[in-house]
Amino acid sequence: MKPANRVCRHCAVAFALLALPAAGHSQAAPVIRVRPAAIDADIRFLSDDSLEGRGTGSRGGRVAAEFIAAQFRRMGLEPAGDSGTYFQAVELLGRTPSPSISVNGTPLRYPEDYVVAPVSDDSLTRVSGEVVFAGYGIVSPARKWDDYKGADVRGKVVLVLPGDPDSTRFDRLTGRPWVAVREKADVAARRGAAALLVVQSEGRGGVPWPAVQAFTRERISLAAPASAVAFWGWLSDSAAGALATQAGQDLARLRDAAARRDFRPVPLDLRLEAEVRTAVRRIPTANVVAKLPGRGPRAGEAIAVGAHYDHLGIGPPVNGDSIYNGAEDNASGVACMLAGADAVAGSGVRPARTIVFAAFAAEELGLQGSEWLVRHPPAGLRLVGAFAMDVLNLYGKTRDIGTVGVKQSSLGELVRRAAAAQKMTINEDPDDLRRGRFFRSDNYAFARENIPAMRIVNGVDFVGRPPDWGREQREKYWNERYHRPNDELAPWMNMDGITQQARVLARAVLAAAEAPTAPAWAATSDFRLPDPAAR
Amino acid sequence: MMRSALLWLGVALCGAAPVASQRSEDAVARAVRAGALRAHVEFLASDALEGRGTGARGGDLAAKYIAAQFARLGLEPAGGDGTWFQRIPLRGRRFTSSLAAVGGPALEAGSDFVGYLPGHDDSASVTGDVVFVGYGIMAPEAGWDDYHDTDVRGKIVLALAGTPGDRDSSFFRRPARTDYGGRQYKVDEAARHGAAAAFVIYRPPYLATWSAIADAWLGEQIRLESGWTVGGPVQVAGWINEPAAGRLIRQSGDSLDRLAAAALRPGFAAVPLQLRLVASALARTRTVPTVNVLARLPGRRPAEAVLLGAHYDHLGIGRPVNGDSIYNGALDNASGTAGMLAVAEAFVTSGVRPRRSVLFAAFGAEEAGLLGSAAFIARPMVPLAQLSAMLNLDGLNLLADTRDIASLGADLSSLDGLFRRAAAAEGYAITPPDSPIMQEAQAQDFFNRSDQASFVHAGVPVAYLSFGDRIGAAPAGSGKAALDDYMAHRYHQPSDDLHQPLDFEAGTHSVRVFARMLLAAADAPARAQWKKDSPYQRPN
Repeated sequence: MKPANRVCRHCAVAFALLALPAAGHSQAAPVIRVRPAAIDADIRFLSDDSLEGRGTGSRGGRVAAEFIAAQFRRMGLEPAGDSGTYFQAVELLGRTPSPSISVNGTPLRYPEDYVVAPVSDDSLTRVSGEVVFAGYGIVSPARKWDDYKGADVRGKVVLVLPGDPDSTRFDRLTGRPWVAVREKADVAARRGAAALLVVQSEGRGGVPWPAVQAFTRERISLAAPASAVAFWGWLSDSAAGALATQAGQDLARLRDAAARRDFRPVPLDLRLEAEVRTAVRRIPTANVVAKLPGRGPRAGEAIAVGAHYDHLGIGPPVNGDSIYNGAEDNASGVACMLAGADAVAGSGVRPARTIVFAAFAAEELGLQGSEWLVRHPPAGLRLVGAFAMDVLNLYGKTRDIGTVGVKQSSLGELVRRAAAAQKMTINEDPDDLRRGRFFRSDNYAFARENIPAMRIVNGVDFVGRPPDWGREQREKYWNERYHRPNDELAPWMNMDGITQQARVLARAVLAAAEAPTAPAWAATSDFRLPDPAAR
Repeated sequence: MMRSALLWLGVALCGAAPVASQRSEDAVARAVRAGALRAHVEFLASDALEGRGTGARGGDLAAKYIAAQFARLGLEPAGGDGTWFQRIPLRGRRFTSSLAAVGGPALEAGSDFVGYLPGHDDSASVTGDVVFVGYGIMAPEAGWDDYHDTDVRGKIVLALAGTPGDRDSSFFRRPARTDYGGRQYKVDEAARHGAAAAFVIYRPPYLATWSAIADAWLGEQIRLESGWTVGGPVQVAGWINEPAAGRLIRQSGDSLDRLAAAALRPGFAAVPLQLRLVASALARTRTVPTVNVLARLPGRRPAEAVLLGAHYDHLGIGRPVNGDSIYNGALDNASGTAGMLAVAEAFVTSGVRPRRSVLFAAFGAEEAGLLGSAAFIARPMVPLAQLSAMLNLDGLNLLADTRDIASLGADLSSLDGLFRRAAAAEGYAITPPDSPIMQEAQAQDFFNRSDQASFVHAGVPVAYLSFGDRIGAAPAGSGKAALDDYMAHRYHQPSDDLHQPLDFEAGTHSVRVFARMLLAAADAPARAQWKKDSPYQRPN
């Protein structure tokens, strides 16, 4: 699981329970076989010290990818990567910027006034355009909010505020994280903007300066998609204030105006000239992708089942241990995905839709592998739904199974039924949501492109344990092992819980692949109605 | 528990009906899947495994991968202490050596000779008179004695590589022991006669090239820890290249050609030369960590066992060839290891419960001299007397499906019948002993060059799966041609990798023969026995 994005702030929002359409016709119950010994073997191998923490671009990561490919081959799943292999090369780049920006001929100071994150793959990017203030830069049909109002920003530099204007209007928990700069950059790019600048706004939902300073160093992200801004960046509060003044405006007034639904973009009548030189480094890594082909007219639709296999590699030693093994994060998720794949392949059921099994690269660096798969689905397939697994239950048998995003789409009902078939309930924990977990793992890369997606996580109601035990274990994990070298298999762990999760996963995936209609977002979901400019 | 025990008791009382055993052999054979074979080969031979070098990261990864597959299948760990791993106690040594005639110029290490210390000394130097001992062979069963009571105590012996049979096939034909040709035997024999130093003269035709021998001995030599203490009185040993040996012998007033010709004749006796040599060597020593990976499928009578083995190690990272320095070892022996794993899977998924336990063994350190299997023999998981048979997969036939198949060593024991039945059930003919490929196997001494040799010498009947001689409708010799091409262009080279054409269906077909045979051997009423005329027998 990737760390929380420090740009995001979350608070509680209640949301309506959804009436979901009943999914499909009944059929003979598939035989689901999941072997705890196989899950244990996979986690043990993937989290062994010899895999050196499966760092992106490292030899340990390469071994993990080969291991996963061999398991797909062993199960008889078809390769769905590049040129008939299981490997899909992910074009991951490290970009270190050296920018210079001037406004109306006056240079801004770097990095005191601004920092940039280049998105273009070019080593030299020039942008010259007028600056337009676009409020919070949010366009959400579901929330009836549109900061652009059809304004023409093509070739222009869009200046926005971070966060959102009103926490009661925007569901910051499981809703679409409009507060994320990445979402704002996508919204601007879809309207043809050349670049996006965000006002730092420290203390007002923005970020502290040390976080901004990190942008002067290398950032790792994917090769640019066809439509993207050339760069996005942060503008310091003082520089933003000065620009507003230079344009005859007042930043505080602009901020007030942006909080209103009837806000309209404000052209600032400033010309920004940017020249961004970027040192670009390629980081070799790959997703591992297999498929079970569907049958009939819906075989072109695919349900993705994914878990990231990368972790943090070798890092600063803690108690003399420098290998970040990532047993729970996310050898467990990969083992569950493989066990689910084995169960589906061995069930004898060949559903209507194709099922794509994927081990994602570079999740810890920002959901990069899953985003790449969404941008480059296997040939001939359209991704229509996704289940992701990240950090699963190695603590024991539970009565409930955890979910993230269960109410967002029709996938939730499939998981509920799959759990019921295993005599389990589902449990979506508000604490999880408060941590922003919906958009901190690979399911979000699908959701961002409006593909219904959710995650299966740990329940908290453990058989034979006191009521609070499950939450205590989770807190212990987050506080004592998460992203540390001691995220390792321990003798007290067992495979009972993850075996339950793999069974539920396999049932839910088969149901999604066989259902008469493709997965759909819930009526109130922020992902249901895409940005009109996305089409 | 009780119910199945009673069920099996019932089966045992009824006796293993041939029909039932045929049926379970069919089930096991069907359950050997090409997809599993391919999956394991592709992982083990991927560049990420770095050639599975002994004591190297890649070898360690391979061992852990194999353990993960055993665990997945629900087999029992059989490496000792509840683990999958049996430590192979290895010691690696690198030598710096010198050799010269007393008062003469020093020979060039590498091009003229290579020297080593067979014992555990860190350094040794020997000055002594030289005796030419022909091929250095004492073979009472063949009426051959190159030493003929010549006193070589404290002296330096020179012996020709190979056997007289290399040049005159009327000597040393099968089923004679064939390790007479090797360096180890000749040094051991010199030690038994009290020599202080022993050098083997490299003289083609021989199994290896001089550069291969020199490369090997200039690099690290890895052996069992116990293997460095068997030199006896021989303090320094090594190889001398033919031209250098010729120069030394000329100094004594004799000629290598004359001596070599004499050594071919029955009745040859060792020849003291008018020559004194000074031989010395230094060693740098380290411990090399590696393991065998062992699993057990418990039998109904677990006191006895059969074993299916394959070595998983290869040569690691080495001298680059065409820019590739990873010696992937796809055929040698990712293929055999994958075959062993595929058979293990087939035993589990078909649900057979054989009479004897079945041991699945991935041996380490084979390329360094069959050391993993030697370590197993030294500390076997079952007493060797209770080990009915050892089947070995080394270099599975992934080249092309043949119409015939052979098993080296099966014909020496009661495994012969099981092999013939298993081959017939898979539609194979038995490769004729006089076919080109079997003659090649004899010439290349394949029987002594893989892990079955360790078991043979411990008295355990063995079978080693060989290639066949005819590919599809192609004429006799087409199998040998494919093997020759592999041996000439890919064997022990970086090109033994996943880029060569690999026919996993062919490999699966051939390994099904051994799957059937393994089950038949596990279920046979009696342990496998050597034939009466075999040169090998179980120890009393």
